[in-house]
Amino acid sequence: MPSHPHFLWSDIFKNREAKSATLVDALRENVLFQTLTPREVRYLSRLVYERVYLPDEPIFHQNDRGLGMYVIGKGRVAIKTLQPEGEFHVTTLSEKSFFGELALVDGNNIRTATAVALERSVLIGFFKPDLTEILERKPAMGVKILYQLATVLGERLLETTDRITLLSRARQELHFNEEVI
Amino acid sequence: MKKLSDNNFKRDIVKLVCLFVVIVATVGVFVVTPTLSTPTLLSIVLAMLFSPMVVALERRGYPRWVSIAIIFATIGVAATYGGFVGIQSGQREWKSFIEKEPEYFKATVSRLQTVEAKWKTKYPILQSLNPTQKLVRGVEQSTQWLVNSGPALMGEMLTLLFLVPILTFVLLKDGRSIKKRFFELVPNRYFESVFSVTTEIMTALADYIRAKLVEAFLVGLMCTVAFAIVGAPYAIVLGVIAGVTNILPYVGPFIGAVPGLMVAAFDSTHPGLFVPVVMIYLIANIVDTVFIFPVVVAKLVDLHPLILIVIVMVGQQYYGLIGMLISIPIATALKVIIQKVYSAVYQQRADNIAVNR
Repeated sequence: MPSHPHFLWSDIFKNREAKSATLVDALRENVLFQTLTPREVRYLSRLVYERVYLPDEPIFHQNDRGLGMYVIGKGRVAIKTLQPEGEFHVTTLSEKSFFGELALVDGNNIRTATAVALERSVLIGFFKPDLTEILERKPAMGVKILYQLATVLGERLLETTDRITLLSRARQELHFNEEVI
Repeated sequence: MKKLSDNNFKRDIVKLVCLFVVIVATVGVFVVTPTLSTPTLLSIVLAMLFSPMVVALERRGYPRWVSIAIIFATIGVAATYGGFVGIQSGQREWKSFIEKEPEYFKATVSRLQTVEAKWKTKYPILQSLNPTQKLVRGVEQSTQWLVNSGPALMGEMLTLLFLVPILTFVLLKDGRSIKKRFFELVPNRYFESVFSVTTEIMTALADYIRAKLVEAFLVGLMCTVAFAIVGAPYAIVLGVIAGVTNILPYVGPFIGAVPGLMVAAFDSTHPGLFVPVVMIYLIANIVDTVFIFPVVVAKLVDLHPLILIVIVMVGQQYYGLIGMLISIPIATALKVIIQKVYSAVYQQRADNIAVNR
């Protein structure tokens, strides 16, 4: 059985420097934080929470109240939705991907899907109170993160609009073909 | 699948046990050693009070430790110079007040004895009761206790003066990493809920403490200015007493008014002050109840006034003055927890219905 890095007793002997460097790297490579200065990334690394999930362990459930986003430092995460007809696999996310970012801007965010670790995964949690703290203490840094977040949300909105357009066009064609037949 | 979920469960149980042990041990240490709990509680209050100032300095680009150091240095310098210049008149007033206090007390006792004798002549059934004598004995005992435990109290004060600044500095600088270490012990399945509840409780407590201190400052300032205007003696001391006692809910203003009323009633050098002083306390209390409390404090607590009275009475019943002081913050914290648990249970039930439909 793999040892758990956050297990109480192993914490005493862990190499903090090395761990911190990995965390900083993971944050720097993320699109939301790529415009931050090295100093700002180091500051951010002191705010975020590193959590370790075992295979098949849920990260959050659909309809849970969302508090923030997770960046995948290591491992893979499955995103599923629960419908009255059953469970649907939406996508599988791998290292450097992130999810749940809507909770950072939506005050009463409800998770629209369930996230489950597919293998032993290290996730970096960045939550709304942390973002609020950054905006209070270092507004310039907070604006950089919010700008990147707005860009990501905008891109996702465009993507969703494209998909809806494609689907409705396909539906119209299907309807037209049925009428012709 | 079963085996894996069992592993998660075992790990979560171990973490929960560790979390429980940490919480119980911390609370236990504080309960067993009051010498540690008093400075810690005081430091937490001060850290919550100074936090917005630290944030304001950080916003201007100063590193956190520099911001804290600037605030500490400012307070240190202000306290030193203020002690020589600003508070000097207050100290003089305090000295004179302490010197004259026995005179006021004697005058009060003699008046009470006259009233008691009159009542006893009128109603012989009251002969067996000796309220004035009991009051005098009580005050004598309290004074004796103060004299006996004076050195110990001085020792405690020195410990506080030494410990509180250090603890406040540590809490302001490393509060976040302490919080982070605590959250590492929370199992993944409860992490977001515990994080959310803790953040809300901390915010509610910090806001409440700040609001109460602002309220106390405003009441103290109002009384001091009004006393100075009407020419009452000991304006600064009486204003400070009114402000500090105002922190106690409901009974605070009455306790704070006692010294001022005694001075106004029995100080022969300032005749005719009783009515203006009563009016000042009354107006200050009305302004506090009608404007300051609803605007500054009540909005943050968001509990029905009747519930607040019950909470304060329960606090007083079990822990006296300290109970009255901490009952509202504890009730605020409990309210946050109950709201979260209720919404979690209610939401889960709604989800089950939605999925089964």
